Amino acid sequence: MNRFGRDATSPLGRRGASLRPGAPDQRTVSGTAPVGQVLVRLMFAPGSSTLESTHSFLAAYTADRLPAAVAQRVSLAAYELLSNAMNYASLSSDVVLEIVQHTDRTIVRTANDAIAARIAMLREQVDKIRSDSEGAFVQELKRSMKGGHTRAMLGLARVAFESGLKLDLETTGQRVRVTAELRRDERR
Amino acid sequence: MTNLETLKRPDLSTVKIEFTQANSLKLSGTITSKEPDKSLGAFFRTVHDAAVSGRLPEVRLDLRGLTFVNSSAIRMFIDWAMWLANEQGHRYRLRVVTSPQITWQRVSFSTLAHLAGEHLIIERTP
Amino acid sequence: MSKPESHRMPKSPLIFMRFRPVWTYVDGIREFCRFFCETTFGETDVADRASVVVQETLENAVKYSGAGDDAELELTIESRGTEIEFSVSSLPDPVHLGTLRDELSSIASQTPEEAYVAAFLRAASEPGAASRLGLARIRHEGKAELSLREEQNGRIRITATSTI
Repeated sequence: MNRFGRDATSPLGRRGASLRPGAPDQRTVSGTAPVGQVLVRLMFAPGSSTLESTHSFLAAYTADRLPAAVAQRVSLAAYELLSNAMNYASLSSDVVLEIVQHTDRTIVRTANDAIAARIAMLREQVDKIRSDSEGAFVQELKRSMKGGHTRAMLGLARVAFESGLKLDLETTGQRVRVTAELRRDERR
Repeated sequence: MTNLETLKRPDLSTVKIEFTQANSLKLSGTITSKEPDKSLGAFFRTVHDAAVSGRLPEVRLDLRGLTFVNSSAIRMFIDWAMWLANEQGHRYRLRVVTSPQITWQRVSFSTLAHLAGEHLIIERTP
Repeated sequence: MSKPESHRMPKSPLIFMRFRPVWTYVDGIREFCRFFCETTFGETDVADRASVVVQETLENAVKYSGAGDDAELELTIESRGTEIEFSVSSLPDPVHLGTLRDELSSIASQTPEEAYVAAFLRAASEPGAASRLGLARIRHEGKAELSLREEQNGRIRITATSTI
């Protein structure tokens, strides 16, 4: 089961997890990892121009919903992950964005289809960022100043270096999922 | 003669109230507050009372700039139509200028027109 | 009274969001849903109807919500082929649930236009009383059929289904 299978896909049926900071984790009956609570899930049609308006809405939503130290970083992550997904998703693919709250972490993730070459490029970039987020950020910043490189890669580097979220990438065939995770003990 | 422009208008964040001509009121924006009758509805009542006491022949209400309202706001227009229909004193004409492109106006005022008396005139102007 | 089954959450809603039942949230959510539907479906009419349905279902849910951490609202918008489905899950104050059921039954027994006219007549004859226009407006102006489902832990789900 991939990590998404553990998270709540049916929030109404899984209200065991609490949103209250400090509340104890509530494991499922089988003793598996605690389920998260989906706060927002959006599915965008292929090619739709929704980024800026969505960002405005999510910035307001997270500012009200999450602690201040978390909200801005999560909002930035949502923007950059969505921008990245919109840029390289296959034209026929929907793009799904989720913000999921666990007791010990907040997760932003996107899912979409992409061609193999783009997935490979993305995987390489995420690996670079995971191994050295500052180095990757500086490199992408230099590239973007020279022009010619997609801004989306600078965005992912920002999420990791500037906002301190942990990036991850999973693929199932053509389906790619990018996750940015902020653990509670990493909140500044 | 009564000048409606002297009436104090409520200061609302989402809806702009203007007097565009003599006895002509224009609303723009949206109305989605929980109890719009307490502010805007109360203002409508002062306009109605002033029109009655001043024996105005007509009050023109231009709503073409009012792009969205909630049902509590629609209720205020029903109330106004009923004040006029039930008025025992001077009955003025209330001319409501609506946009055929704005769904809530098209739907609500065609319904209201059937219920209100002849003193309510619904104008559909782009 | 036995509890009915849990609602089947759609696997891929267009929009899902969870928030506290606060009136000031409704405007922003409505506008976002309007924009989202217009962009997704490319039809102003669908976006306009979405505005009405979202506004009135959320206002209804906020007005009748109980208090407490569990009283969060959940809004879902899903596309099902030729239909668009809006649903709002809430935890109503039990005092209001009976009224809500009665209202839905009453408007369901009439055509959308009849129910809307009836609501206008009621508003006209009861000055100062609560509007009660919202649900009728969803059916007539929003062109959506309404249903109420009771879910676990005292929650209810109001669903409005409209043709795209």
